[in-house]
Amino acid sequence: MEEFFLWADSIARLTNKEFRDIAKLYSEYNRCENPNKNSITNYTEYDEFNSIDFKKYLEGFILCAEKSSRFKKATIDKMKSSVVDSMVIVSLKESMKNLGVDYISIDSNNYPSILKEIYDPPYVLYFRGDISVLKEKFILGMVGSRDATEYGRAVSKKIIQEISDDRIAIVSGLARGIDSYSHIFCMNENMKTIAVLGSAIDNIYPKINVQLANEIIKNGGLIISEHNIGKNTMPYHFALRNRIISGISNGVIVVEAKRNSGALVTCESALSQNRNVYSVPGSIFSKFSQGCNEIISKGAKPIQSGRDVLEDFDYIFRLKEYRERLKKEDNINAVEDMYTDKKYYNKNKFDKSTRKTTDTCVNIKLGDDRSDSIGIDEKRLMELLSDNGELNIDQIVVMTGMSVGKVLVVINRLLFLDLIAEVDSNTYAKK
Amino acid sequence: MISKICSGVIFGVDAVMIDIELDISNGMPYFGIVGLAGTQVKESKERVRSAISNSGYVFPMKRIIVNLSPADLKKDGSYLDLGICMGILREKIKKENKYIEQSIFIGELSLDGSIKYTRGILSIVLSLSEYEGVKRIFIPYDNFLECYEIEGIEVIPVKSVKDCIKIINLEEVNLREEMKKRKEEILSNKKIKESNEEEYDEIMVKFSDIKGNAFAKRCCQIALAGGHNIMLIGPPGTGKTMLAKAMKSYQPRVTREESMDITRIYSIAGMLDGTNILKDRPFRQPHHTITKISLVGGGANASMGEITLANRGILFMDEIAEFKRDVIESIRQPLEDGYINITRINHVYKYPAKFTLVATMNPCPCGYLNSSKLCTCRPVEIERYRNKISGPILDRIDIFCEIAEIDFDDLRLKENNFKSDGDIAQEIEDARDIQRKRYAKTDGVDLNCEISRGEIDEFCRLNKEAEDTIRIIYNKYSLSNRSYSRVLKVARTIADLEGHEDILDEDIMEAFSYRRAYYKYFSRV
Repeated sequence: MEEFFLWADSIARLTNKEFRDIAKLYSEYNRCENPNKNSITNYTEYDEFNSIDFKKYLEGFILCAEKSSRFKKATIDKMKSSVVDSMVIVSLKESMKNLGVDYISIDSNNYPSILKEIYDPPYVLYFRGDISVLKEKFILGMVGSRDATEYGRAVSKKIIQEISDDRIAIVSGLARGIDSYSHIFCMNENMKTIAVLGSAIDNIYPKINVQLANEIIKNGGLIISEHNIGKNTMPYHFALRNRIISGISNGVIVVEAKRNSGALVTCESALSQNRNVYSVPGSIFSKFSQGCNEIISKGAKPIQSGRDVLEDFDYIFRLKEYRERLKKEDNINAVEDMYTDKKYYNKNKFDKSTRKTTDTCVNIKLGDDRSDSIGIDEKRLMELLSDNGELNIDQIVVMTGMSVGKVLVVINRLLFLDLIAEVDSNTYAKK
Repeated sequence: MISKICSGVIFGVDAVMIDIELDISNGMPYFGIVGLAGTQVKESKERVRSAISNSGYVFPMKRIIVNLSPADLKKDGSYLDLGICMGILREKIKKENKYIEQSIFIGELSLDGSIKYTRGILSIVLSLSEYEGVKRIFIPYDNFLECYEIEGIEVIPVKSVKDCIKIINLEEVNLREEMKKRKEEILSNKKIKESNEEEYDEIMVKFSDIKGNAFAKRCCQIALAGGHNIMLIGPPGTGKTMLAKAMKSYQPRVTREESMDITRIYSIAGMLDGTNILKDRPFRQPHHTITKISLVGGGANASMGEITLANRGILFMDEIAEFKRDVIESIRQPLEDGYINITRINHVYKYPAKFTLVATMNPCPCGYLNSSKLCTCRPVEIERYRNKISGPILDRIDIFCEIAEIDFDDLRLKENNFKSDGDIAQEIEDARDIQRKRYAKTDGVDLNCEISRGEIDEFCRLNKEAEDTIRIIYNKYSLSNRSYSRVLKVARTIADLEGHEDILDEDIMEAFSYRRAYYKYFSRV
């Protein structure tokens, strides 16, 4: 009877802590009667939702809380005053259905087991879209500053392209800047993407992303929130949703973050939840990368490509494949294959005889066909940029002795080839 | 006895010929004006009566009816005073009727019979000289300076009613001598005036006075050469306003027709104050508290607004996002069409408004986004600030120029290879010459910025590499159709500046860099 969770969250408005404590007590009490049941709330004894059982269950739950002296009177009163007829629940479900909103409880099979591991998992999740993404995909988080620069945009694009794989889904917060880019580029790569809202499930914030939210659902993605329709949004909700972003993901990538950025909150919660934290290094002069560089110095893994992230999880993918094969084929063969294949896999990575890896290394741009097609002026500017880091147009004009028009032409050529990027207004640096 | 005199009144920026019919008959003494006369015209009968008596003539004690035609046009202004006066004094004029029919009398009378300086005389003279059969026009003596360069019509300055009758009655030879004398007299006065004015000449801002900012200077040069609308975006104190002011002193020279157009408008607005024909393009800088009506024109007597005063020059909107939203939106149509229609019950007034818009704004409300100082704006505020400039207005701006703060080191950079002020000005002139030749046969197009969509293929020819380049840009940045044509127009101007016949790929490359800031600040992903 999942409806019970809906009642607790949407009508009685019990906090996570209140619900968890009462439910624990109640299930202990129930377990004495039905020792076989191991569920947190023991709701499964009533499979079908009907008004008599629902009421009985509610009363039992409240009575249990009342008898124990651990709960505040306000909490008990709150629950007592919100004892409702089952019709209210039905109509609430109806209006949620009209908005395309559904929900899962912590006891549901679809609730991601990885999220249960965290300190404070939400006992109900509201969602729009395809909930199976949570279970089936390997989830990585991608967060960053709302005031993203061109560099941040380019980085999120590059990394998502490199980890592009239909077994992976990217989760982010549907905010401005890096969050939006993550969702957009993810969909461009035909991957599923998940947005975790800090606001109520029917209230997309910022408004400018309403269209993006619809796109996500259209592309088979998912939007989740722990707040039901019509619930008011508080500023602290956005900080709290960060624990869900890191909670459902196996690793969190911080693309671009200022000092004190909200992305660093996600990073902290990821650490406390025992998730991997990856950070994209940036220029030490850029205040937009200060946060990223700081967490690297504290021990986050600096990444230069998507490969750097995937190498940590390769074993998971391998394991999954073999488990599937184990199910299908003869057990002994499969285990043998796993062993031999693993050797092959290691060899694949580094061949001692040739001293070469078969992996592509993104940092090596030598022999890249793009640099062949550029002219003398472009090469000269590239050299100047590698010597000086970043240069603005005035400096380039003075250093090269070219006219402004010519400098702009050269800069544009290099921008087309993605060899340089604009780091500040009228200031350029090598990519 | 009926006499007929021709005169004229201002209508929009043009003038309309008014026929004054006077009937002086026996009966009770009466003086009346019919023919939809406005208040100023009705009052003219008192001025005429006093002027005639004080000039030493006798006002006829008869029944006098004045009829103004066309009767359906409302006549305003004091231009008809002299005409009515001459009609009453017809008997004193010793020329035959044909002479009177070929003459036009314009001027406001003073009670002592002298003729006063009146605004808009230039426009009336220009418009009426196009009518058939008009040979000479009598205008106030003080207005002669603005009209003496007009050809094809005899412009005769007169000082008073008595003077006017004296000049009409002169023989042809004597008249010529008298005119010569007057012209010299007026011009010698002007020279004295000019030598006085030079000392008070406004201090001009030069590009070389502005340090660094090579990119922005290039933007301004291109905008001036092709008449492109330009927006300068940058934090406070980076020199946006100074650059815009420098554009004022680099505006290209005017042609004779253009200068007539400009002077005409200033004459009607009464802003000539006794100067000759204007040789400088206007530069109007309305404050951001301006109302819609004073910007585009309108009001009780459908007067001209700032955009008309900026015709063939620059309209500088400093801090455009601080203007009221409806004020900004009101310049949409004039920006596209180059004129504004003001509709009143009976008539539609069409004022020209071909101006180059120079707008500046900060990247955010506090101004310090992307600068060394801390920006205190919330993202919502920034969005709201930028959204104030609507899409249609942005669509009409060709060049977006981002201005960054200058480092101390840059301030001290030796700018040997920056172009000199003289070179910049000369390049602009040359580019305009090329455009004048190219568009000589095309109606409605004088500058690159005015090319219509249909004419783009004809005027913006690309060579092969340029076509490849624009294809790459189009696909890579998914340009809209409109952005595409904007890039081509700017590329056309760059090609003109560089002296390229067809547009080369480097012109396209450079043109696109002036659109980058648009994507950075205003693109809605």
